[in-house]
Order: sequence, then C-alpha cells, then structure tokens
Amino acid sequence: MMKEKEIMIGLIFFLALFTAPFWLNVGNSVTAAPEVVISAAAGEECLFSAAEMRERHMQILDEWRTVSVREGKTLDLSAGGAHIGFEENCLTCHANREEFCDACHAYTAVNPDCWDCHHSAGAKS
Amino acid sequence: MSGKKISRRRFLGLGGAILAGTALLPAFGAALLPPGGGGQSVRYGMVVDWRRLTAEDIARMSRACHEGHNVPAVTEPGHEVKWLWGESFDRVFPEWEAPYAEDPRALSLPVLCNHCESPPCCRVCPTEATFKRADGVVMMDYHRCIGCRFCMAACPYGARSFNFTDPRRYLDEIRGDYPTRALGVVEKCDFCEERLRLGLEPLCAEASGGAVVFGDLADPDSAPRRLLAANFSLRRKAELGTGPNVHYLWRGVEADA
Repeated sequence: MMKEKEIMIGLIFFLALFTAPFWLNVGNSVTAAPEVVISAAAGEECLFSAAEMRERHMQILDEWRTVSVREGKTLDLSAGGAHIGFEENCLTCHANREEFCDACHAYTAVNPDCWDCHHSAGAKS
Repeated sequence: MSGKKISRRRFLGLGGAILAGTALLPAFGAALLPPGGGGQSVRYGMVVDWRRLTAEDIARMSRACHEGHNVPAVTEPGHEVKWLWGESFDRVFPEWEAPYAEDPRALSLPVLCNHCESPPCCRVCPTEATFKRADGVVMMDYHRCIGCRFCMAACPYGARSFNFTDPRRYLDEIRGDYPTRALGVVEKCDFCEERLRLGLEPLCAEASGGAVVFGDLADPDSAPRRLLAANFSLRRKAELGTGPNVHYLWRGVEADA
C-alpha cells in the first residue's frame, strides 16, 4: 500500500532542509576577498611571479619542505637555483604575516600549522 | 612477436655471452656508473672522550644543545624533552658490571641519539617521519610525525622525547632561527643537521672543549677514526645490532689490562 501523502511530506521536508543554505543566504552580501598587502624590500625580487605564487604557493612550499628536509637539497633549480628557505627567502621581505598570510587564510578558512613551529621574525603574529 | 625461430646453437651462444658479461661486470661496472656518484660516502659519527668530561661540562653541552634547538624545559616527570643529557655510568652501560671499581653511579656520561647504522626507530615509523639520511644522520621530519611513539618504544637508548604539551609553554625565550616543535610530535638530536649544512660541527662538540670529536667515520683519516684506531672504545648496547655511531673512548683500560 502506498503512503503517498507521507512520502510527499517527507520529500518536501528533505528538499527544504537540503537547500536551506541557499534560502538562508539569499540577500546576504558576499564578503569581499581581502587585499593582500605586499610589503617587500625595494630592489628585492620574488622567486616567482605574484600570480604564480597566489596559485601555487602551497605546492611550492610543500615541495620545498620535502626536498630540503627529506632529500637535504638546499637549492631550487626551477627557481633559478634559489636557496630553499621559506623563512630566509619569503618571510624576511614579507614580514607582515597578518596582512600577507593570515588575511587570506582566514577568509578561505584555511588553517596552516606553519606557525606552530616556525617562528622567525616574519612568522610572529 | 613473429614466429621467428631461434636455433639451439644460437640460444646457447647468447646464454653464454650473458653469463660471461655478468661475470665481467664487477671489473668494468664502475665505468657504467654515473660520474661523481657512488664511491665517496659520508657517515657522520661522534667519539666521546667521557673521562675528560665533568658533570658541569655535560650540563654545559646539554644547555648549548637545548638552547640552540629551542628544546623545552618540561619539568613534569615522564614528560621531559631531552636531546642530550648526562646519565650515570651504570645506566649508560648496564651490562658492564665493575663491582670493585669506583662508584659507577658517580660517573656521568653524555648520552644522545646514536644515529644507528640500522635504526630500529626508522623501521617502525609508520609514516617515515624518521629516516636515515645517506650521510648517516637519523633525521626527524616533524611535518610527517603523527605522534604514535612507536619510535620511542623501538629506541633502545631512550633518545626520543614526546611533546605531551605545547613545547612553547616551557620556553622562557625562543632563541635563534631553529623552529620549535608542535604539540604531539616526537623529537630528538639530529646531529645539528642545520650546522652540518654550513660546515660547522655540532653544538655539543663545540661546547665540550675538545672532549667530543665529530666527523666522518667512513674516512679512515678523519679525527674520530684516528682516535678510535688508537684507543679502546665502547658503543651502547652494540650487541643489539643497531650499529650506534656514537663511540665512548675507554682511555686507560689498555694500561690496566
């Protein structure tokens, strides 16, 4: 025996619940992405372009930590033989962690645990 | 493959040629290896002339190490974090009984990770967070450590410490550039890997006033190898087959024998 009425009520309830995030956020304004404040010493060049960094910094840093910690390599040949070092190479210039790192990470709800251990001047919050 | 047939004579001839080639490979094999590779290998090790070290010397070495690597001074019993510390003779060499010698508990020796040849810690690590480098250093990759503490159970020397609490809580001051560790990882001595990169000797050797000699044990002319050639020495629990690379000189034993 089909309980059509009950099934229909259940379906409507399910659909309402499932699509609730869309209804609840209708009309809410979207928070604008934060502007990355780049503070770099004059004359110093970045290893990669800003666009490439924005897109790939997590892969680059992940690769760096693997080759430097596990393979003992200290030079990145893809970056023109640059010395591998997140702290020496990046944070010395970009020493404004709150604007340079945290702003975007907070916006995208990413919680990298770099700062649990790395504590150079630029890594201080 | 086509149905081309190979004669028995040719098959046996090729087999013989392969056999002859394999037999000759050791003689000419070196020419096949890429240049610069193989051949020269480094095996870092340490010789401790512990008779020259007082408890104060060991405390100084330990302090230099712990300050240089931001090792937290955790005081809760069982939660201490140590990379290099002093231990009494009867605990460093429990198998060496000397009932009529001077009180073995009064003798202090520096102990640290032995950077074993076949490290049991690396064998049990499920994530390969600890691994043996080609130069002999038993490294820790804190990024990968999941804090299972298998390595601590496997290490026969108790050279590993676990961070039961946030280590920064126990650092009155974070010194230098060496990173701290995070809650829930295992840490230990890494032979001052960050200094070896720069061609410097480890901090403990520097603070020992010459009583700790560090170098390449694969090189027969290195300072530690010359010391080991001229003196009797011991390694901790060598009978376990881990191949420790920290040697303790036994000066004076030749005269007594």
